[in-house]
Amino acid sequence: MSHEMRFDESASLSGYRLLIVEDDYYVAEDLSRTLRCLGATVVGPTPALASARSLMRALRPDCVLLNVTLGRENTIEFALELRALGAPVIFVTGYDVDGIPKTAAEIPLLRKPVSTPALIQNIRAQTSCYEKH
Amino acid sequence: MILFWGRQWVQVYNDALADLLGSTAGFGEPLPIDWHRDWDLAESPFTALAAGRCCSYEDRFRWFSRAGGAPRSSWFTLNFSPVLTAANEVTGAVMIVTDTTRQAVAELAAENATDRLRASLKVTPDSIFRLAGDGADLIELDGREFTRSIAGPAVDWLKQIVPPAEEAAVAAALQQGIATKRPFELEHRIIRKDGGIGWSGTRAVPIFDITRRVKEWYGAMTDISPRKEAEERLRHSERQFRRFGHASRDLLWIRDGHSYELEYVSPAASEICGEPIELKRAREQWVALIHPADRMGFLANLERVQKGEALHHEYRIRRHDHTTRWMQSYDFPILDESGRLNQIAGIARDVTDNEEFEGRQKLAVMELNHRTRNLIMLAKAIVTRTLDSCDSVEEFEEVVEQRLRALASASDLLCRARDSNSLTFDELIFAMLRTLGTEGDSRISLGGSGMTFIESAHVPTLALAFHELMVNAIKHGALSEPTGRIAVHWLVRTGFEPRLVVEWRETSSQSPGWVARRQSREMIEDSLRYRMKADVSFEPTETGFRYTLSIPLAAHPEPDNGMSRIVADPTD
Repeated sequence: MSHEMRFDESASLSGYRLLIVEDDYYVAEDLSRTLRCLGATVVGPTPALASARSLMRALRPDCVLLNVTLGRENTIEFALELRALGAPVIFVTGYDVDGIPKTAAEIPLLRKPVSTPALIQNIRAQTSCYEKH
Repeated sequence: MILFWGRQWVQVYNDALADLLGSTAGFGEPLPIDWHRDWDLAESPFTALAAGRCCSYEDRFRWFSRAGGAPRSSWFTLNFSPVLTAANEVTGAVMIVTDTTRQAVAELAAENATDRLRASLKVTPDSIFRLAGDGADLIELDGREFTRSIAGPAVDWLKQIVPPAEEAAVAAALQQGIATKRPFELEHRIIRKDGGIGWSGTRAVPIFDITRRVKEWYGAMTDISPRKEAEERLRHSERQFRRFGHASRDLLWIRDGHSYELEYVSPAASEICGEPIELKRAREQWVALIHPADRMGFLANLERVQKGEALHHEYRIRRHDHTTRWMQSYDFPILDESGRLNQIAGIARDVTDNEEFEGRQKLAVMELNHRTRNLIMLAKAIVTRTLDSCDSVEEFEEVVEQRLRALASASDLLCRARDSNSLTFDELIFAMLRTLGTEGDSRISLGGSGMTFIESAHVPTLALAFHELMVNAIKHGALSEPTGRIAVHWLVRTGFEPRLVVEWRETSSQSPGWVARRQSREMIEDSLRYRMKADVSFEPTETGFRYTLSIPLAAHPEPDNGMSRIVADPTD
């Protein structure tokens, strides 16, 4: 058995290199799978900040999908660093906006479970707005 | 009086018998030969009479029917005198019978009363005293074990047994008694035999002479120290309790355990509720003050307390001005000495203005929602991957249902855990056995410490891994045949980097072919490596396989109140 993507979504992220930073294996795999089905190249996924940093440096993804908590670590600082460097970041989290400090309020936030159209739209919006700069 | 005539002792006058017996039967006849035996006399008095001697018998007892009535105890005194002729010959006799019953009974009663009095004085531990009629002199004081004894007469007796501060009170009571000629009593401190101070309950009664003058006072002093001391302790603790209640900003209350009526409520209640709380009408008032949404829960909790449980709970008070106060309460039963419910009580704190409380509430709700969303995300991921691996809808239904149940069990465990490091590996493995109904299966043996703690964050992944192992054992491995065996052992390997090591050894006649399936291997290996940096090994053996898992444990598990996963304080 298999579940098929709708045709018009199948290649919508074609050419994008996306880093997934997510500590839960199943969630990370599920998200990777979805993104691959949308034509994207997945970097990672990784459950830890240290490896996220080195993947970032080595592979220069177009956008980072970041869970807010990784075990006992949180990724707010990392997200702000990335943003300062001009790298697009999207939070993918169970928290709502209230759970995120105001300093990170400009970072778009997708709440779990993530809808595929919202994922596509946010990734495209983030990368295009950064490409302009 | 009865007159006998002739040596045959013929009754010639016996009218007096009519009063005593109701008849004069026997008139003109001699007495029966053995009549004296009725009176318990050794020999007939007539022997002495015949010899010209008098004789008398005092207070002879016999059962006697008077005038035909029922026999009653009676006493008589019998006097016999001979009647002599001029020539000093005995010609007859006079018998005088006196009924002494009344007198004898009175004497007996007096004797008994004296005996009883003597006995009662012996059994009572009280001090006994006698005072002169004017109260000035002590005639005697028998102190027993309670006070000193004083052989009177003594004038300064009061000073010897009563502490100076109490002298006036005792003297006043005595004077009052003397003035009214009536018994008096009072409770006062006393100098005990050992020199210590105790409490006496003192009573005295006047004893009158024939002219109604008090000839002496007869009294007793009873040791009431234990009662007085208990009363004093009680008063003391009551004072203390009230002081606490008064000083406390918490709402303290005590209710009757059965009627729920309020017996005590601290002054803070009125302040918290925004209106005076009166004990009399407090019950209705109180229930009306509880927020309608919390009322049922509040009353249900009171019922639990009534059944003997002590509990923490929270509820809201809605004041008349429609403001709401949040209360945190600890309620508990108060039992009597035999363990029966006597009262229920509570300490309630108004936490409305408690920022910490407010913040915590908010964070707790947010954290719960976060956890729920993660769980939904995880469930979604599990469903998707199950969908990929199944060949039929039926298979999908079965597998996904089992996996979601395993996730639900993991969620139960997480909700029960007090902090992020308080779950143990055996709890996890038992939960997984229960999920599949294999907890009593004799083919499974488990061994390991009950104190092996695992991180909460790892629970869902570990749960799914062991669930997968067990499901596969049921379908294809040891639990699919009667002689299969599973042995699970776990331990903590201490050292530079402490690790939890788990070994799953499965023995069966089947080849462990299932393990080659990609998805199963992923669930028992990849998922654990990904997050926990686990070392996982899977080795086929001649009779089955051995699966070992080794997870680094947090070297310094931080104390965690379950809130530390919060990444941001919403107020900053």
